[in-house]
Order: sequence, then structure tokens, then C-alpha cells
Amino acid sequence: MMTTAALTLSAVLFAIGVFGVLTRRNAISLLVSVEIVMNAATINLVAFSRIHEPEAMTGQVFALLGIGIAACEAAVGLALILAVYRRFGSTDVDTIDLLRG
Amino acid sequence: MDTQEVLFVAFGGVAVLGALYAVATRSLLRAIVALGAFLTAIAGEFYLLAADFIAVVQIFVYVGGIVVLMLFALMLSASGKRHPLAAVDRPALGAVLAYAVGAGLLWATWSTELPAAGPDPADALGSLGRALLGAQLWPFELIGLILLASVIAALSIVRGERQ
Repeated sequence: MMTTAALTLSAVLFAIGVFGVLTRRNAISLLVSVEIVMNAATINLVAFSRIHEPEAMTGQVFALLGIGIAACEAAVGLALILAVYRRFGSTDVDTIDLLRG
Repeated sequence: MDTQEVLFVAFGGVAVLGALYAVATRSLLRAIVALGAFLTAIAGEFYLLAADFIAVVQIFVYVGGIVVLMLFALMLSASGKRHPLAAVDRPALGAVLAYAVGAGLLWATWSTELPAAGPDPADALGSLGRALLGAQLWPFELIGLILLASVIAALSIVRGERQ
């Protein structure tokens, strides 16, 4: 029962994150939405870790690696956002259209 | 419902409300603070799912690291002040697509017969430590390398633009 509840919560949070990614225009808000999506995925990993070989802890190791990757992604993403802001004076993703033909 | 289930629903409610506020609010600062509340609630869920260590790492890395990093990025770019956010852009289209994704996931979850969760290992922290330094040693070491590479990348991106 707990597993289904966790998967349900994860699906709802994933949908909320997708909504944010699709509708936000500020780059930092996009990063906030992506973090929500990644946390929804991590809940799934931890929940499945309990039904598939709980002693091997594979799901929890995956969750740890996912959190590490999320930290890398946030650091590089925010550095890129700061570099873009210095160049364009804005973090709105619609104003950065240098590659538009 | 026993205490564990009540706590699970309570943390889940905080997580959903925090996530909704974070994606819908007009103020970027409030979105980041709501993200902090959301991440803390998720740490509570991890604890209830017998993942104590993941819960602590979640607090340290996300609430203590990523949220503070986002606040610094907001401060250094002042993107909230000079460019007031439109709350959301094309909300109807986004809502329809997000609803479709969520409905598909919920259908897949509820139509699948999942095996019951086994008994949680007695020494969960010990099992995790043995897994990290045993069968999963290579991924564990590689994640350190990736973290180092991303720190160097972030520093060079931020410094390079200044010159």
C-alpha cells in the first residue's frame, strides 16, 4: 500500500514539474521545476528499493547518485544562467535568441 | 491508519502544495522558498520509506546547497526585480500536457499489480554502506569525479565571462 501511495505522489509531483517546465519563462524558475521532476523520480527509486531486494539497496544507491547528478546540474546550470545574465541582462529564456535564423 | 500513514499523507500534502506554489507564484524568491519546503517534505517521505540516509543527504545537498545556490543566483542576477515574472506563459497548453502526463503515470501505477514491500533490512545504514563500497563502488567513485568536473566547469564558466 505504501508503495502505491509513493508512486501516486511521485506521479502528481512529476506532472506539476512538467507544468512548470512547460510554462515558466525565467531560467531559474525552469531549474526549480526540473528539481521538482527529479525529486519525483527519486521517490520512485526509493519506493522500488523496498520491494526489489531490500538488502542490496540498489534503489537507494541510484537515488544517491541521482541527488549527486542534480547537484552538478544545478551548479553548472546556475553558472550558465549567470553568464547569460551578464551578456544579455536578462534570465528570460525568450529574450535569448542569438541562434534564431 | 497508523502513525506512519498519517505522516506520509501529511508530508505528501506539504510536498504537493509547495510544488504547486513553486511553479505558479509570480515571485521568484517565493518560488525558491517554496521549493525548500517541498524538498524538506520529500526528505520526510524518504525517512518514512526506510531511507534514513537519503533523507539526511536530501536535507544537506538540496536544502542546504542547491536552494542557497539558487538564492545566490537570484541575488546576483536580480532577475526577479528588473523583469517581473509573468506568472506562467501559455498556462492552458501546459496544463493539458501536464495533465496528460500525470494521468498516464497514474493509470500505469494503479493498473499494475505490485509485489508487497518486503521487511526493511534490520541494518539499513550498514547495508547501504556495504553496497556503496562493494558492488556499487565504481558508480560511487565516478560520481565524485563528476562532481569535481562540474565544480571546475561552473567556476570556469563564471570566471571566463568576466574578462
